[in-house]
Amino acid sequence: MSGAAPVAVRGGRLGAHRTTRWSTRIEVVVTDPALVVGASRILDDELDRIEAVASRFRADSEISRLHRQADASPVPVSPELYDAIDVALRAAAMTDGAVDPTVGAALCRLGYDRDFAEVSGGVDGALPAPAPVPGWRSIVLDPDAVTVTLPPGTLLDLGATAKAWAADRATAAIAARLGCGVLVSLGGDLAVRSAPEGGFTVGVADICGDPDAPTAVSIVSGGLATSGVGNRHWLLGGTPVHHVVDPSTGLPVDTCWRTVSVAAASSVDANTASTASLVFGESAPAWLESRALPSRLVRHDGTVVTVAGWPDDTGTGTGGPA
Amino acid sequence: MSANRRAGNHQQRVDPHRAARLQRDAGLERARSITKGLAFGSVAAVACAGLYLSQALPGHSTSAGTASNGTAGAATPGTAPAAGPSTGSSGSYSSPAAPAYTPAPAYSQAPVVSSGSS
Repeated sequence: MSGAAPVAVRGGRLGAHRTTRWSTRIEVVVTDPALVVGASRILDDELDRIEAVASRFRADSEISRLHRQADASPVPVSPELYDAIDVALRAAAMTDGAVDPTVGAALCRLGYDRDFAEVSGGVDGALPAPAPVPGWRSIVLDPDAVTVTLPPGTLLDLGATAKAWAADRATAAIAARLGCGVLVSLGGDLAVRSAPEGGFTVGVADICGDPDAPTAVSIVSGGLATSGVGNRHWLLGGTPVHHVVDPSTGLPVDTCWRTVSVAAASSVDANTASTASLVFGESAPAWLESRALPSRLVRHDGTVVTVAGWPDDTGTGTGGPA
Repeated sequence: MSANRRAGNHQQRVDPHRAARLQRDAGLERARSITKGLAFGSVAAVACAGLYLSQALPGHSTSAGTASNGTAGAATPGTAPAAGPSTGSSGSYSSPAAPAYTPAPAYSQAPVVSSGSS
């Protein structure tokens, strides 16, 4: 992350640092420009730890070692990997399995078995036959022994939660250690602590980093995440596929939504809900509304649906306490 | 004098039924006091015992739920139930938590970041 210089934004009242990692855009914004270098170091450390523990693309990561040892017997793991898997299982529980971490092998069959930068140009192969993933209920966590039990052949993909979890953790660490307001965005999964008056202004777009975002909202606290099928996609033997897998088929989800943005109490919760909404399809607005999660859903034809108080794109809506 | 003696005799001759009633009422009053004391004492004892036990045995958190292990068929100390509360490293809830503040429209400010699919 050290390759990018800090920049001042909003008239110098905020400091920001932007770079690329994990084939995605990494940003940290703080309310004291003098603290931006320290904040980016804390964020770097956090991302280093998460990557060393939870990246399935690194052969030396702890989760890769866990996959190699998976034989239906308990494997001792570090508290951080335990927590990362625990967060993923809670996401699965909260969505009745729509966001399931056992999609790792399905993603590999689709060719997504290495960093996305190496996949985006297309991979050889053919679309596999539909088959349900092993299922999150097959994973056993023992909190006392700090062990994880995986059925043989099960590969975990924590991509649906690990980025957002890292954003939550980094934001908390920066706010606690530097005592400033902070926003951390990891590929559009963002977390906010101690925002300045009026909040942080966040553009909401189909693609993370789009400077021409069609709408913008102010975020005071918690998390905001956008999930979509229009960015991380590739060709598998000529067939277009993307990274959001339907656990019931092991294939890319066929969704009516191009993108779903959700505000929640944390980045993990926001990303859990936005990813699940892609899987839920037409029932997503009702599911989000029933949970009081302000959301913006965009259909493939560009039609926008807003629920639970998310301001519409014309500016209607006041925001404020939920 | 004779009138005074008559009056004294009248005071000494108490109605035996009334005396019995008074004695009964006094007994009942004593029983009520004892019962009340026992009730207060019991409540206080239970409260003290509860307080002591809550300090002595503060309980334990579980990250786990009670879901069954559909594939492995073993006990599931770690996984959370599909519906119902689960306790993890970041709290306990069964649904994504709503934000404290609803996002407000912010069309006049230049965004500091953008959220989009990545």
